[in-house]
Amino acid sequence: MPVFNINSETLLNLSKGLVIIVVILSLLIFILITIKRILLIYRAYRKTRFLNLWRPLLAETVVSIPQHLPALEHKFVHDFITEWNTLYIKLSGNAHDNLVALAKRYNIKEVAIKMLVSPHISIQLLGIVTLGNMQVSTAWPYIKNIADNKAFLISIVAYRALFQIDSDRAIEEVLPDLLDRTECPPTLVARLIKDNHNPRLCEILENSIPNASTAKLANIVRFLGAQRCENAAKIYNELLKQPVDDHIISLCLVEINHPSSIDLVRQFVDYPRWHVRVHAAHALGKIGGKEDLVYLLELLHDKQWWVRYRAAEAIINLPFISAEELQIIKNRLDVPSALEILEQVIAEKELR
Amino acid sequence: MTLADYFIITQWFFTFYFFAMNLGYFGLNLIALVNIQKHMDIHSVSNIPGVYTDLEPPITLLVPAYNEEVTIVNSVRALLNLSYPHIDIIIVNDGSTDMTLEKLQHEFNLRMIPQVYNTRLTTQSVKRIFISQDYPNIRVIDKENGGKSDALNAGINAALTPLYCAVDADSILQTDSLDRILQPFIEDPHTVAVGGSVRVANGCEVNKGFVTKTGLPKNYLALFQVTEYLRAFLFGRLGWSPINGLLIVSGAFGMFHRETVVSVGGYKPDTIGEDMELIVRMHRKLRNQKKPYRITFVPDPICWTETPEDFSTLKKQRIRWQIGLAESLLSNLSLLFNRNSGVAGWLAMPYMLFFELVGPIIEFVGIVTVIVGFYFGYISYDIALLFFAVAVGFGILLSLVAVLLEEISFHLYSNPLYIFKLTACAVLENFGYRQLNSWWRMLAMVQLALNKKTSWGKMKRKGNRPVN
Repeated sequence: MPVFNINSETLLNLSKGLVIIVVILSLLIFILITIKRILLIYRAYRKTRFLNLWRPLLAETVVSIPQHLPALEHKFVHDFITEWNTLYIKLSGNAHDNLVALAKRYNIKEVAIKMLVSPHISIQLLGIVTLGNMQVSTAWPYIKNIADNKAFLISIVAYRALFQIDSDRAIEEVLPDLLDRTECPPTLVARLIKDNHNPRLCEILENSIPNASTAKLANIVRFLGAQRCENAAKIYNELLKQPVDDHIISLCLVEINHPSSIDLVRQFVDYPRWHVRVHAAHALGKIGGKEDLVYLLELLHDKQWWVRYRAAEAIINLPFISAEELQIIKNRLDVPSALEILEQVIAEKELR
Repeated sequence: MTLADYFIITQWFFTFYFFAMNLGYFGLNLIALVNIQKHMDIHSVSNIPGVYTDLEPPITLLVPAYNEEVTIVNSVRALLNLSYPHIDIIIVNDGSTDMTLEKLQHEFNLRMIPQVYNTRLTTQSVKRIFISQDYPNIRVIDKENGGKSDALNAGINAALTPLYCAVDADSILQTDSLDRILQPFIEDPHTVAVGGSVRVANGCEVNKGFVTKTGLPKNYLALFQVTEYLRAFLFGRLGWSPINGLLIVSGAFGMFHRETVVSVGGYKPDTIGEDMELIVRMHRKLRNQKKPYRITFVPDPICWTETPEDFSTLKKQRIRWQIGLAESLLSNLSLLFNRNSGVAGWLAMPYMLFFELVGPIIEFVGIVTVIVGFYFGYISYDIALLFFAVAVGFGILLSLVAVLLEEISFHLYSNPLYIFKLTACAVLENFGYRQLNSWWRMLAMVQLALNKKTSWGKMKRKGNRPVN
């Protein structure tokens, strides 16, 4: 005798119950979809109203602040701030001053500071970007706090705002922290410090070298070069004399551009890791003399594609190699891989 | 065992299976509903001017192309118009027998450069490499035919950037698609792959390679696929993504960390579902190596694709997908219940195996059992009716949730009539269309058992993408 009856009441009741639940839920979802659509239509209407009123006024502000400005309705504040920022990043000079003056007239500074504590990431970020663009110095501690404690994206935007607010202060107070945030793209940091001529900048970078992690040291090596720091060449030479990490060697080779380092570069031509040999080839191309052609030809026969490619690039860019000499070098090559790579690089150069 | 015993056993098996499956769907829906709100907050970040400035790394777009003479030029032109600042485009002509290469040569003024090429992933031989003289960021690799995976591997070998994006030649992208799909890489440095949401392009207005106005297809088969795509992407993938259990990144549009892909061996040339197989293998290998990683999905509608409008093409597509699913899962079975395999091995993989792979067979056996049982009097009329009512009811509920998720998030269909049409579709597709899909998927399992070969799936295109 089976334990369960095929037409058991339990199963029947369970199924009926499920059907009722499914029908009720489906109806509820349908009602929700309808409500959402009505709200969407309303929001679109409100946005159109905002844009019709404020876009012309913001555009006029670029030239001069309009005489008669309407009150900014509370419901339009976030839309206003977004439009304001959109316009701000597209413009420069006097237009910025006018836009900041307009924002001040509507107390946007206070609104933006309040936005910093919003639970929504997008609103927090909008607040940070606005305060950075307005260069509100009183917002410094709030933004610094966010930069130190928050997730990557918010931190990065906050660091950028701090540099906008006071670049010199940021060099002193923010740069050391920023160097510790090794997940931060070096290009971004380089861009932040690029136009800063604070003499303390190089000093801070150099002081950060002792006990720096490999990732941090790698960034410092990059920035020393980008900032053209006076002691950069000396530091690279020191790092190459007592190499601590292959990646650092590679970076130093990338940054090196003084002929005094040539002996150090040559010692990496037959380095076991090919990543280093790639950069050695590149460095020889930059600072090498006629006597270094032999090293480059050796690298042109390397078993690694990238080493051969960079060596070929270096050879064709050597200032003392004429087209005829290049042809002679080509004719003497009897290893197909070396010849092919040289031909490719020559073809690429012709295209440029 | 008597026939009655069989019906009793199957009755309870199906009941438990049905509950387990819908519990899974319910869980995914719940995660998706919570996650979509969070995502929309992050999504709106990209509307804030200047937030991502200086954070965008250079990206290579890989476009494998096989006999794409109708669409290739428009597709590449559209890629050139993407808003992203640093793009390299590599088109891999996988031994096309039509005019694909000639069209590219003519349109982009290609010039051959000497063939030297870094073969980190083994591929069919590369015949020639071209560079565009008009657009220096366009390269074309002309190679022997080896299939889509082989073409992608060739593209990876030629790529120079740390991230690459695989794009189908017939995909239509949003102008900001790269900015959107890149966000997870910026927010979490452990991200190795990101998939984007794919939507149905049929019925939309396309101009210069971009969707300029969303619409719904007139063809009912394509219309049903609109809700189907919403369901698959908005709660299927969005449900798995936050718990790092995503097992598929659509081949139509996905971004990858190149070194990670190379380290796991690139795309497997002898599979049909190369996109899913790669992701499952990435989970397996990275889990084994105990490396921290994230495979993420962004629900933003960033890629549009033309879907089949006739039964024959749709059937072929679904069979191909199912075989791809089977190959991906079966060739990486060691991920299943492995000690280190986390959510991917303990939840996502069993879910895919038992509900997505075996599901169509069980569904088919279930339907046949109910019909036979009803015919022979072992199942009452009430039970038979309720069986179908509950099954269809849950199907409707899931599709409606997908429409709701769309309305909460991106609400692409601006015309209110469209949303009601989609709601109607969410109901109607459960009467025949979904059962037909299950039938095709079951046929795929039979085909797989018989070891039949399939190749690059080609779709009958209406060519409704206008010429620029």
